[in-house]
Amino acid sequence: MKKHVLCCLLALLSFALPAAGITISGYISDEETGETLINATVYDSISGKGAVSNLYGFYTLTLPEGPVHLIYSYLGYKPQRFAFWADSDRQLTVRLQSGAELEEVVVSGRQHKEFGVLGTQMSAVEIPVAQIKNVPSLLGENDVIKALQLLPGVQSGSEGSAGLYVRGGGPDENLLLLDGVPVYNVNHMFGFFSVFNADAIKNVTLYKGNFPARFGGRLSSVVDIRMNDGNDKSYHGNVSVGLISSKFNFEGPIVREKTSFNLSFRRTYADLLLQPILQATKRGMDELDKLSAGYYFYDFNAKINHKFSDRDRLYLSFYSGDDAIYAKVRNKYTESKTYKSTSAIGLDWAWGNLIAALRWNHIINSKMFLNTTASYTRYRFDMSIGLKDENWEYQPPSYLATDIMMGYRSGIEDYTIKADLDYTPNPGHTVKLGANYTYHTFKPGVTVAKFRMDDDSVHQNLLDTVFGDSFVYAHETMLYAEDNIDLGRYVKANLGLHYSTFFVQRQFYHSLQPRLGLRFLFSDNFSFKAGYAMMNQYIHLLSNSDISLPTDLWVPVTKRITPMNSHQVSAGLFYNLRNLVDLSVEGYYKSMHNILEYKDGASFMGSTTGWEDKVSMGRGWSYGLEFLAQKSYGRYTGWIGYTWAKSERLFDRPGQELNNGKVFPAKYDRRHDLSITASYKLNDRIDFAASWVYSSGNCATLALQNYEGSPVPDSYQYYFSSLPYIESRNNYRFESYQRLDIGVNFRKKLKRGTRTWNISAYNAYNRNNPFFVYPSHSERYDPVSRQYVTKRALKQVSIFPLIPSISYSYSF
Amino acid sequence: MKKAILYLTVFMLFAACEKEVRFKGEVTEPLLVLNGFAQPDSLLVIRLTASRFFLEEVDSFVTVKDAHLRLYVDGTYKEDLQSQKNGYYISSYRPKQGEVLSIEAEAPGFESVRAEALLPVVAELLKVDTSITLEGELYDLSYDWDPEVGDYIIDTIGLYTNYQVSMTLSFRDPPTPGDYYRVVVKHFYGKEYYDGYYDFTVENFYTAEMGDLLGPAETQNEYQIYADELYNGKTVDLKLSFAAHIYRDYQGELPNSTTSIQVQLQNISPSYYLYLKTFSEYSNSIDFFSEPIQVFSNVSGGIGIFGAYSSNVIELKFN
Repeated sequence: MKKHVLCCLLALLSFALPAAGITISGYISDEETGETLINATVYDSISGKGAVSNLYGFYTLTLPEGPVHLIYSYLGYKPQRFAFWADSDRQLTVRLQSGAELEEVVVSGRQHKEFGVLGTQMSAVEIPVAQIKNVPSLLGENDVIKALQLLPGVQSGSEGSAGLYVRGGGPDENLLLLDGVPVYNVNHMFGFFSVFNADAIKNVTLYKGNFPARFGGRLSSVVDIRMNDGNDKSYHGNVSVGLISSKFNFEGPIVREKTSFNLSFRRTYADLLLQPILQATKRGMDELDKLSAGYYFYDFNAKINHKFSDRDRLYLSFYSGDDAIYAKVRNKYTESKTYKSTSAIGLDWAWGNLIAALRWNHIINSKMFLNTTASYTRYRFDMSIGLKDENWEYQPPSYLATDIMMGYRSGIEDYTIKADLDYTPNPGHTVKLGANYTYHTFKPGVTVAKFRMDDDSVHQNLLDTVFGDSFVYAHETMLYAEDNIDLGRYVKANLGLHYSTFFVQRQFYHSLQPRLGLRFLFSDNFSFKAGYAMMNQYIHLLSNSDISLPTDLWVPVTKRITPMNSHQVSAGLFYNLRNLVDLSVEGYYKSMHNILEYKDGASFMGSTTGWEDKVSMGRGWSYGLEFLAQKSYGRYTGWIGYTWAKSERLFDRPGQELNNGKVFPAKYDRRHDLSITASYKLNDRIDFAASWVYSSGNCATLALQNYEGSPVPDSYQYYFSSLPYIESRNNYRFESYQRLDIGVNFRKKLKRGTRTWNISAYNAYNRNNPFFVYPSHSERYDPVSRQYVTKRALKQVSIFPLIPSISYSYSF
Repeated sequence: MKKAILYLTVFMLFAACEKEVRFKGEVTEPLLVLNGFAQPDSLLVIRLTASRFFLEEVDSFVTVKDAHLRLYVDGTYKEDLQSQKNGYYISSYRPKQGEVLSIEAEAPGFESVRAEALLPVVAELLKVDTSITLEGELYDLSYDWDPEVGDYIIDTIGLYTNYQVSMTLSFRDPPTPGDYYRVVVKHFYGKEYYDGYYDFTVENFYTAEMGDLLGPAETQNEYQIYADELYNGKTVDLKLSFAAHIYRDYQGELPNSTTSIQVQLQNISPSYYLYLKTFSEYSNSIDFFSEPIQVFSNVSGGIGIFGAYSSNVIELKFN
């Protein structure tokens, strides 16, 4: 099989011989801001050939010598036309002007977008950031991940969480890339918000299947998020104040049209608002000397890019974001005639990501583009708790102090270097090659304990120790080759191979993963696509909960826990309606192998010790049908997505049986999922947005029988207890989930900028959506029978009722 | 720590709303519940009850009295168990260490059930070192109201003698993996009556899961059970220490002369180990968000636990 795939690839690569003609190449960017435009189109109306700009805005188009009529276009921008006699290669960097609300901007000829009707890529969606910002959200916090959850094939997990469950996969099977660098923890506030600040983001693309060969390392999805480069012409900014956070964004040139920067900062301030309340509390408590406590999160994004020449550009991206919980309590001195004492308690938790990437874009020649990246990413969780006591006795005089500190640290850290080469020998043929090496350091839980005692004469360190698992180091490499080629007018293919290796603790794993995408064109706006992708994953997230906890820990594969892999086939029909609305229907089948589930009764809380014994390896499969209608530009924008899906698991290996070795539904198996997202721009001053979600209820494991538990011999548990009996996993389905979110923006142009008031309502018709259900038990006295009567019922807990929010922003 | 995180999380969930909802799933039929623990040279006692649907508004469980229970030893039929009161069934055979015991039960209206347990052979005890230190004495006083005097009269009714006991049990774990242990300390007054069980600390004997330091303290080895995963085939020097409070009754209500403390190193069957482990986790679980904990059952076709254990007993006598 592998040999056949290799032969096919080599045969196709032979098409990559240089074709006769001239090559026009360069960057496509925004006229006003200088931001490079991803997936912008250049089209020659004479030859009918076209190309698309890559992730860095670079395009290359080889045409026959002679007259050319180039049309550069990008959705929402006014097209630019160039007509000239082409007799030699030339660089042409084009800046497109934003077309604002001009709905009539329709490009004639073929749209060569990668995700549209003409491209080979399927199972992928690109959402304009402006649309993400318009989606009404919880407490007014724009959220990239929450917007992705509204797409077909993507489940949201439990209510309000920022978890992604793509086509029946798990939340740790998504590769979230920020400027090409993996982000290991995408959650703030236990998963209710994501770490991606929409103000700092230029482009978001979700791949659910048919993965291009350049991606690997996760089974279920790739979310490719690109940060803004920064305006290279003038200074601009945005300040916004919301219910839970404030945001600040500032961008501009350092050297005009050469070097620019973009800075974004967001911080919640509930902890700051809490301080006056705490101080009032403190005043009512005589014994307290100091009291401060709170929770906050922040995100800081920064990017600098410098253009050395038309051929060379350098980008430096940086992200830092943390959640923190802190508390400091100090008692006043308690004093009597015989003694004086005081005590203090301190607590500090912090967890978050740090990401840095240095990227060099180099145009080798008009047909070859090289991107080289060195990056660093880490997630860490630090926790410390301290207790301090001081006592003075007067008769006889003595002093005693104790100081206790417990700390816990865990995390993961990666250093990566990679190179990606784009080679476009002719407009109908693009080759992508790349290599990637990552040095992982897994930091399982390490506990620090200190106990110090001081008295008049002796200073003793009674305890000063560090214990826990030692660091685990791993080497991961990836090589890929991707060939996107026209096979005649109607057929286009994307063939790829992704090869990866993983070396950890003297264990070596490797995997060759074929990728295939085919497109059959019925007409310029109607096509059929089919694809296959195999994916491999070498790391797992140990988590004890559906909500995101900071103790969640990434661990590598081991000798016993082998890599997960998946095979996914998909096929669908794609139709473009008047270049305004993209319609698609896709079906998929995905099988997943060596996936993990916790054994019955197993739990994890921060330590990796013995984790292999707590999990079972098994397999799963999911299949479904997705429908998407998306309109990305104009007065009315939005999408309608519907998914019919099924996802099941089977853990039947000897010794690793779950659910008695029988098939059970996956945790987030939902049969129906419908979302409608729409926004309408009434005029320059007012726009509306709404989203409505309906889905089948989540699955939950519910004990349907109770039984008599035996007393435990030789213990105080000498009575018969009532125990729950769970017949099978995920055997009960919650009520359906529904939610309507609405929002309106009021904009006004001021002297030096624009102010916007946003008023929104989450869960507008106050639906009590299930967060979890539990069997309740109560007793009441029945006056008729004069006996206590037991009442048992099923209770449902909902967490987010109607939540209105308001925010103010000012952009200049 | 786990509790702190969860309480904090729940606190973060703003205004939670709770309501009663209608159960929309399938109402399942009751299952036969079989519970019992085998010991060497003791009669085997099994109790049979019926499970009930979780929304049934009754508190008690129905005992099953008309069942037919068969005992197999090492795969060979041995005898039928005899029905007693309240759903209990008893054998006349006294099983021995190393035997595999199987019980089959049939009862009208239920699916037949089967359970199996290996009655373990006790570990070879190589050496026992004991150190007992007198820590002090404390009088037990009674405060009785004397209406004639018009005040409380203090009377000495007993004496607590406190000892600190340290013990090292050296034993050899068998070379086969999958051996499980439980340590128990019992306090006896005379031969029949026992006062209860001591809390004690065990050193130098660990299970892999004890590294889960952030786990809830109260669930950490509530029943002092251990797997041999870190010690397979090795000699273990288990160190045990506890405070013993020996009571001398001045009023003669309790026998004074034969106060004893029993330290037991039990070899328990794997199913018994899993039952104790999951039962403890279930009893202490407060986590709404993760998979509910299923208390281990080894009764196929039904529910319950059929466990077995053998004990090494070290007796300390105090006069």
